[in-house]
Amino acid sequence: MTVFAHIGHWYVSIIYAAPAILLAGALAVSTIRQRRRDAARRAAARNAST
Amino acid sequence: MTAPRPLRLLAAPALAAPALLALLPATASAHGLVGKADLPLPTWLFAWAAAIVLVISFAALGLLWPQPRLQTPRERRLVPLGAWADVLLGALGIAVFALTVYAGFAGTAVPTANFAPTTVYVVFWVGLVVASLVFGDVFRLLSPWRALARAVAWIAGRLRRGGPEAVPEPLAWPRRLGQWPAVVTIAAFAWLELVSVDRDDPRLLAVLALVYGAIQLIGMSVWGIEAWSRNGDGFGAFFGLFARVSPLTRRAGVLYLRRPLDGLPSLPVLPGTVALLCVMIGSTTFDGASGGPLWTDLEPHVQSVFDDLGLSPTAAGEAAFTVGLLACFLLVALVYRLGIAGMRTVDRERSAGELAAAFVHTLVPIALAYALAHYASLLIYQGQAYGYLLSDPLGDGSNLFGTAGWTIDYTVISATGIWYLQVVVIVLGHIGALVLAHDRALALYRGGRAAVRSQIWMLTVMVAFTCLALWLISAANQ
Repeated sequence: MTVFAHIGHWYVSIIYAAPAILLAGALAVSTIRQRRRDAARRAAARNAST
Repeated sequence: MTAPRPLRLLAAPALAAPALLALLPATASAHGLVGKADLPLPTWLFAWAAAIVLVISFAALGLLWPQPRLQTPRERRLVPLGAWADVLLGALGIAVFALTVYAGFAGTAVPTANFAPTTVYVVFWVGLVVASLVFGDVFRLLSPWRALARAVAWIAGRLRRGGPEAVPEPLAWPRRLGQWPAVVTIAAFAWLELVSVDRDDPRLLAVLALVYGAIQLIGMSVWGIEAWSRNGDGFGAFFGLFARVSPLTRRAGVLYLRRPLDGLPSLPVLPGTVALLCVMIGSTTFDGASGGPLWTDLEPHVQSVFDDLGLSPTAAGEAAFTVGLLACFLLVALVYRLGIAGMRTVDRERSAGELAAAFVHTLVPIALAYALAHYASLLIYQGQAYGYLLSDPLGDGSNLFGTAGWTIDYTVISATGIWYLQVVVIVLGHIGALVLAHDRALALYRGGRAAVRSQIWMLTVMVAFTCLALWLISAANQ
């Protein structure tokens, strides 16, 4: 598509979104790690009770 | 005191930013980074700086604002502002409305020489936003439809000799309808302003003003003047939202002073309120984006789809712009919904709808910042045209007040000055939104840590809107 041929005209715009992308990425990683920790804690609690 | 873990996590991207920046190559549009405004820095750096300001503000709120403070408004009585204000400003509103319609029908077809387009797009659409921010809900007093309906109700009451009570009771406003009529009105006005090729036709504006006025009078006669003005009149709802940011409010004939933003936590959330704010921000977004390189590249391809369907070039162009406008509405709604979905990872007890309603008032300062930043130059420059248009509203060479020879002074503020004004407005608007969101979270979660955790998602939403706003105004600046 021609729109991609002209990508040089507008892809610099992505740099504007970088702070939001970085924040969202950090949050996503944090949420995943938090869920894993919670799951591990629950599993440990189950093992301790059995 | 140790900062909550998510706050520490946020420090990583902030520190990594300059490193990422260094990896980016120069681009074809690099020369465009310094446009009309003569700036010492590339415009994207302003977006990054604004994002950092928001992150710092967020951290400061987490540490220094431990209790909700805005949930109960604090007001100080100023002066009585009785019925004379309704009569005076209502008469002014009716006069301007009548002159606009008359100029639309009887005046020149040249938009810049006719009173109607500048009144509708500059004084009404932009000027009243500023007036609402400074003076409160002035449109409620200026609304020609409300003033006319109140005058008719007063006369009807006198004729029946039973006072206003003798007029039949209006129907109750259907709660399910909420503010959806306002959503339709503002979306339709945005379509007229941003999509229609006939947007500047004074005659069309006059016809639409009359049609809209007739709908308002019918609506008020069925559902009552106040209920319709708040919910059915799209512009009443639009300016009413901005008026909640104002430090002034009028109630029961008395003017009160309050803290700025104080009117927002008590915003009644009806069906359609979230959509209304998404439409308000989305329409400004599209206005900015449609002048930028991304849409300029994309639009011909969207238009060709409609060309292939057999539409005329004009209709296909309008259809393409309609798609772009709708996409911007959806984009804003999506960003907000993503923030709400993120909040739900912290708070599973409330539904997404409940959280969306609880935090929707935080979008008002953002919508205000978008509108002010985007239209600041229009108001400052084109607003001056009112000087000569008041003397020559029809564009026929008359000089009623001796000001027909006035011209627009483009040196009143430089393009660089406009740019800095826009940046300040955008940053302040988003900090206001952060403050409101933090305060609401403290009230909802009754714990600083949970509140901060939930608001990191809203911080991301605010940063996204800030970056988007600065990208939009930079596109217009090139």
